[in-house]
Amino acid sequence: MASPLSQFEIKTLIPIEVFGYDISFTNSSLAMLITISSILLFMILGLKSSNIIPSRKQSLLELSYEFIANMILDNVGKSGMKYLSFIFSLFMFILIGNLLGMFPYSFTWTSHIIVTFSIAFFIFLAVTIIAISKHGLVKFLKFFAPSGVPKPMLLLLVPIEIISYLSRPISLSVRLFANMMAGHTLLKVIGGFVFVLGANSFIIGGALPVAFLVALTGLEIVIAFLQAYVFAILTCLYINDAIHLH
Amino acid sequence: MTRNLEKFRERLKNIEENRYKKKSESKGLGIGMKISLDLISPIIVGILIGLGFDKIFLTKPIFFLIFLLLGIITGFISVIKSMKSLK
Repeated sequence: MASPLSQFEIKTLIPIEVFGYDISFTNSSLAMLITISSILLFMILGLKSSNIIPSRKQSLLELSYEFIANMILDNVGKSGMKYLSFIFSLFMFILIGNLLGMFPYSFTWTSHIIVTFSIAFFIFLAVTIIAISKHGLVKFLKFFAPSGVPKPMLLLLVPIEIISYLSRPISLSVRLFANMMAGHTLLKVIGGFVFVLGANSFIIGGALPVAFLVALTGLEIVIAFLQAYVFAILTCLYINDAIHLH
Repeated sequence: MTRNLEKFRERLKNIEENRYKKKSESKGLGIGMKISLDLISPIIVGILIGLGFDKIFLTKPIFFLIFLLLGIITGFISVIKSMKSLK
């Protein structure tokens, strides 16, 4: 019988090796490809008609665009609108990746720490480079030593500020990874209980875990939306910190 | 008639002023996850930095303990800051 963690195994579909590096096409890559194709299909279908009174698909696309645009305007301001395409791609990619993992027999690529850490580290690097290129290295380093602090306190405060700044990519990646992995593992464990408890009779023993599974699946869909939203909004807040508060 | 117009102008002014203000959404489960994670991740970062410095300077437990302590303090400070900005 399979363990609840075997759903996260990486299976190589097409082995590719370049100069000793293994860049095979795995089931995780396939899941990401399906995610991108679904987003592209959604956008192409929505952009076909351009009526003033929108059709359903057009209205959906316009709603998603408005949602992201308002999020950036609220959290960064007008100077952040140049990052709209990045935030839109980030949000849709993580959201559809989370949601596609809810289908049976599919693969949730957001439940791997190395994937979420790559995205979070890239965002961290990009935000740091934006801050340094906009304000200069000196003003950026001054951010870690707030004004009006006596000298001995500074020795304690600067490492604390640096650690707090460096903990951003870790918290960003671990939040998404832990939520997705815990949710899907819980689903599999409760699903296993259906067989264990319902061994004698399904109606008496097995129906309770099934009811629980229904509620848990609903919760997982809500968490899929929430985690994508939290990821995108935290990215907007970090961009706001980089552009303004330095 | 003029009173309705004044009320309307006030509502319009309120909406226009709050248009670009920063809003922070918070739902119960979301806040809990965020604050608990903001407590742990500086500790993890402190441990990683401490172990890294220990590898470079070959002083086995000293830097690890210092940065572990700093990480715990940073975790608590960031939790206090988040709770201040929420309440």
